[in-house]
Amino acid sequence: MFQIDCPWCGPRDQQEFSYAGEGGIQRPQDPSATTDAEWADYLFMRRNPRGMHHEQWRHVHGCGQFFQVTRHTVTYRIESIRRMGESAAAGGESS
Amino acid sequence: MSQTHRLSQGGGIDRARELTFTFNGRRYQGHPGDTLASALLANGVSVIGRSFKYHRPRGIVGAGPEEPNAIFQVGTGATTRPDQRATQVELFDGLVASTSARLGFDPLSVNNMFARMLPAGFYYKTFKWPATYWPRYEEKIRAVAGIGESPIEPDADRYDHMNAHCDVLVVGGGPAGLAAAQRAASAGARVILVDENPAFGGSLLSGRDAPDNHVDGRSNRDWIANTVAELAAMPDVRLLTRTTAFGNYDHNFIGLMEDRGDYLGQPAAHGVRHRLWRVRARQVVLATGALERPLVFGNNDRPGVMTASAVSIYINRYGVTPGYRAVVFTNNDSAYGTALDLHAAGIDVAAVVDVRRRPSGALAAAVRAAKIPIHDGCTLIKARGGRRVRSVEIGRLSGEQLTGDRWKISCDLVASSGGWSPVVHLHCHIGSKPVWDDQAACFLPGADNPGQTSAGSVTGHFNLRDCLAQGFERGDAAAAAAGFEPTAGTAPSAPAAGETMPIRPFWLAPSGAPISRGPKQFVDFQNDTSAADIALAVREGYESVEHVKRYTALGFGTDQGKLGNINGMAILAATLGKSIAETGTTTFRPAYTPISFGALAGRNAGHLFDPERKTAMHEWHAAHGALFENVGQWKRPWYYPKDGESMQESLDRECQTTRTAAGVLDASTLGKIEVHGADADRFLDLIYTGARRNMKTGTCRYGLMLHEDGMIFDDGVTAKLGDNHYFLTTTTGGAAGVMNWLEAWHQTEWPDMDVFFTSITDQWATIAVNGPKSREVLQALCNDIDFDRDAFAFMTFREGTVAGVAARVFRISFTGELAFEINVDANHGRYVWEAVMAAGAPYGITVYGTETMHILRAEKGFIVAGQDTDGSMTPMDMGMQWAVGKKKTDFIGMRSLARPDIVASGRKQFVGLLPTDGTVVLPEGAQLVDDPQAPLPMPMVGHVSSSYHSVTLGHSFALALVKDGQSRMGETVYSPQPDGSVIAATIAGPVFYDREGARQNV
Amino acid sequence: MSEPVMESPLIGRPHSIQGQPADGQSAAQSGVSLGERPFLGHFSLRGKADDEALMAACSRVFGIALPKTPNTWVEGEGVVIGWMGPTEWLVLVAAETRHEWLISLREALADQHAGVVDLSGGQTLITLAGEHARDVLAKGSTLDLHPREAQAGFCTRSTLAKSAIFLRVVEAGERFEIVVRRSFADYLWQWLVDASEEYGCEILPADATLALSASADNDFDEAVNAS
Ligand SMILES: [Zn+2]
Repeated sequence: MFQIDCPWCGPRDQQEFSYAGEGGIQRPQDPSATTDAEWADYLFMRRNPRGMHHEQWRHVHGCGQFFQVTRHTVTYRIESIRRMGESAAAGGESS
Repeated sequence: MSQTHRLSQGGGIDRARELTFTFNGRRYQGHPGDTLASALLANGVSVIGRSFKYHRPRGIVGAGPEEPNAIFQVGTGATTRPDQRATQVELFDGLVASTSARLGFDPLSVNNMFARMLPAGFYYKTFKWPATYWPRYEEKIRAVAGIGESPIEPDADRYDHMNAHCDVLVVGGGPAGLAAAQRAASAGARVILVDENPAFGGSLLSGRDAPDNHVDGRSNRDWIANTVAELAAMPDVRLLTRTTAFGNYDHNFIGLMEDRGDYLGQPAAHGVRHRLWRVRARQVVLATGALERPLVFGNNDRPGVMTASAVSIYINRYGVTPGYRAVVFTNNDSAYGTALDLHAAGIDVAAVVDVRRRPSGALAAAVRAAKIPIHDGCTLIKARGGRRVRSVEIGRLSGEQLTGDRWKISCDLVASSGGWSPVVHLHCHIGSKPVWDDQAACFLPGADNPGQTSAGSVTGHFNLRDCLAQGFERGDAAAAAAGFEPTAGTAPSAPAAGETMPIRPFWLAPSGAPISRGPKQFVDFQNDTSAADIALAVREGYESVEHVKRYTALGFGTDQGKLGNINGMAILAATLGKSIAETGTTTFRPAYTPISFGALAGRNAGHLFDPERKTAMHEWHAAHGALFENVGQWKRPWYYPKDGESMQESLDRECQTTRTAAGVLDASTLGKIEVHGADADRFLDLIYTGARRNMKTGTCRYGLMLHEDGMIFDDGVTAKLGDNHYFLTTTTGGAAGVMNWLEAWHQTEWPDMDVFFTSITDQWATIAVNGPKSREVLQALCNDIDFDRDAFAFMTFREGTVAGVAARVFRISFTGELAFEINVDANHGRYVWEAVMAAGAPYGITVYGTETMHILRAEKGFIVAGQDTDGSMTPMDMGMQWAVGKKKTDFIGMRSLARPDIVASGRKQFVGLLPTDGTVVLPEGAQLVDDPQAPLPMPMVGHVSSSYHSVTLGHSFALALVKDGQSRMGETVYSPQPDGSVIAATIAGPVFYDREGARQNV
Repeated sequence: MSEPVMESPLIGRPHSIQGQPADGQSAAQSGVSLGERPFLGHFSLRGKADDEALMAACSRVFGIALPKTPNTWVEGEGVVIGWMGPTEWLVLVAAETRHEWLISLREALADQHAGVVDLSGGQTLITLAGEHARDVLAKGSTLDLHPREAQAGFCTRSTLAKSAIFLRVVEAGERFEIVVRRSFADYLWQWLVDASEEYGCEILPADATLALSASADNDFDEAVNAS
């Protein structure tokens, strides 16, 4: 059970949060202009790294906010946490 | 005097009181303070069961969680508990325990005679073929395996969970743990100190009371009492005894199980039997101590062969001697302490056998001074005796081999010590590997986990002075790391340890015969794994310790190899010709000791197992005979049987009345979301497949939501309340998911849009009045809304007053009939509901439940997202192209609808099915095939998603997903049933009733 | 037509309305007291904290600024306002003032980028107080409610047992309010009664007033309830 430091509410137990997938995936500006391959890449392909992972969580049973987390998938150490829209420079390393 | 092995003095037991207990049907006496194990030993009970594979007689070996043999069934009836370690079961008056039936009797001792036929991997090899026989083999093996019985009655006790937070959690209340807790607490930290024993003190509880182990000049017991009292007086210190830290999880989350009932026999009134603590600690100090390993020699499983420390504990803590003539067998100094304990208790110590030459430590000197013979440079070769050790055979060593010089000493007790293994389990639970230390001949914790540290003998410091100093220092450090300034003070002091001699690692006593032919040398008693089994596994090609574990069952028992694993790994390393560091250990996983299912479940059982969500009309439904159906966590009325009605008769009545007069459904469970903000139009246009921005205020529109892959995930009605202001409904089960979906897109993709979502599912009670008489019913209750057909058109809503309560009334229909949905503040829900029932009485209004709702909607071909769709259907698959905005340039999932595999033929499409025999109802979920005679596996062409008998139609019907079904109208498909029958059905359109949709527009 | 009748979501638990002393003990010995404050006005106020015009309008109507510090509540004249998220506040008012408040709020915020959603029928408020109130919560909540960590003025959305809740600390470590969705209220109430049992639990009669720390009226109500 993780303890996650919500950028609004502070440290809370994992059970107040929901995982919301890999972070930094930008929806194409004009989906109709994408090729099938580009669309499939956006839709299906995820990095699933062994190591540092940029991901999104939501404090669903708290302030309701989504935020960005950089977490090590082997040690489960959380390296940095940022609000949506905050750049990595403010809170930690980037990939 | 039945307590033949009770010493006349000593121990922490209350001799003034006598307790009676029953073991295997015989009554015995013990004292408060005894464990079941100490009481059995006091009564001279040496054989407590038989081993699992060879059915050899077994006795008590240890005195704590490492005990492999004395695993009993305790209690009877509903509260009987299997797998209880007698060494940790506190004695109470009337305790009933037994050796598990499967270990107590002898029918399988024949195995012992055929022991050479039952080597490692025996089961794998013998029962492997033919594969179809495995279930039969498994049944037999399972009957033999397993060492306990689960209660078959419901558990009458309560259990609970307790979440706790602290600055410093100290695991283990021995000298190091007490010192650490005392320091951290005095700095002001919130401290939790836990110990699995009934009292704090750890090793100090079982030490001789001698000046060489006094602390701060006080006796052990004084110092413990004083320190515990000091801790107990501090407001932010929580002391938990009888509490095992069973698991170390991520981010300093520790699981504890506290016994609050077992030790009493029954929990206190209103109390719980077990409490599961979920602790989040800023800092953790692991002072988990060390467990003694036995030495491995021939027939080392004979009752009377024990670890040396266990012998000391029984003497010093319980006033029990496990035997009257002892041989101590060791490779290190600590067992000399046991020789002295035995000697002090007046027990004859026949010999100390030390594999080291010329033992030189202070303890050895004391033993010599006590005139106890020391056989140095020698080993025990084997024990002799049947149901109890009678003598041991000793041989002189030359290196690792026997010189040939052998002799025998008679004894009834062997106390053996192979050194100490730090309890690194918790340290390793979160992925850290232990590190082998050649000097101390043990695995030590590796680098500290974040926010955690270790103190005391778990770090390889085995003398009191060092442990106290380390506990003191680590307690300070943990408090400081949690933000607390240490106070002034000095570490509790103990006399300096005398001269010591290093341990000589000694993993397997030579027997003078090949390993497979000599007497059995057991490594894991609970699984009957011997040194020969490990050697055999290596001969057969196993090299990884993880594989050898699984092949030989080493460490697989309820004791998880606490006693035998390190010996086994060392023997494996030696057989492989590798170092122990290279071979490594198996993985340490929670739980450290078994925990109860009750503790895991806690309060989440019975009526509190899961929330039962109730609508405002729930009590009315219950009072009117509703049978309920679970829809997600909601309790929804399923149908309302009248006296003597079958289910189908009830449904027929509810359907018929609704289609011919009026019916009422509690639709409050539908998800409801209010959406507002300057960009609400724009946002909802991206969420729904259909357009929203051109809706007029006061109108409603049906909508589909797709995932980005183009698949339908929810549907509902959108009502436009005003400019950029909407009321959405979702499916009952989809409400939370839709809310999350809206927030996710808003917050992560379009944060600049001005739009807010508020869940209002619970705010509104929704009363759906359906049927040709629904207008009259509404008119009787409401005089400020014009219900005229044209004034209040289909798919619009009005605000007004129903039964005197402010209401929003929607003219929408899920039955195909004229229908109105009344939404009122849920506090008034039941009041308005009753008014509707009263107003409908002249028309013969019926109440109906979810089953009738399903029949009525299915007759109309209306889908239920999540029943007729399963996350793999597009709007086109469902024949709902009409719900997709033609002019839209983008919405979630739109691009996917043009993907090649979405437009390809061969996709399952939504159709109706008419069984050839109209009295047969196809089972929902049934698979469909084109040719029921085709060889297996038959190619499947679809499945049934909804299926009912319709009183309106006069026959059964179904909705289904069939490959290319929309172009197969009139064709027949077949559904083979588990009983061998085949149901034939004709493919039809999905709308069975009122195809023109005239009835809802009257 | 008769006057419309309101029902609390705890209607299936009659003791929640009349009250009930702790099992076999006098009220003075009970470690926990539980009660419902039904029919209060509950409003969700949505808007942006950096919208100065909105903040000013709110200050005017409430007589106190909306709390911008996460997880804090403030008290105005007859109103309690809790921070729920960066764009969301929960407004609680007494039952009899619910309609007036709703009208004046909607008027005051009509020209703002904001919205008020009435949740009064969709949730209820349960009070939990006493020496062991914190222990009861600990059985189902992962929040750290030690007075050092959660002082009076703290509030948050969270979970209790298997229900989502909004929790308000009225008095650090001693007195709490739990706002729960209507459909979960019956479950949560039963859970609270069960979890409180070992400490001796007194059930207070239902009380549709708002607990305000500064109000003399409120003290009077408390005195009446206690007698
Ligand atoms: Zn938060």
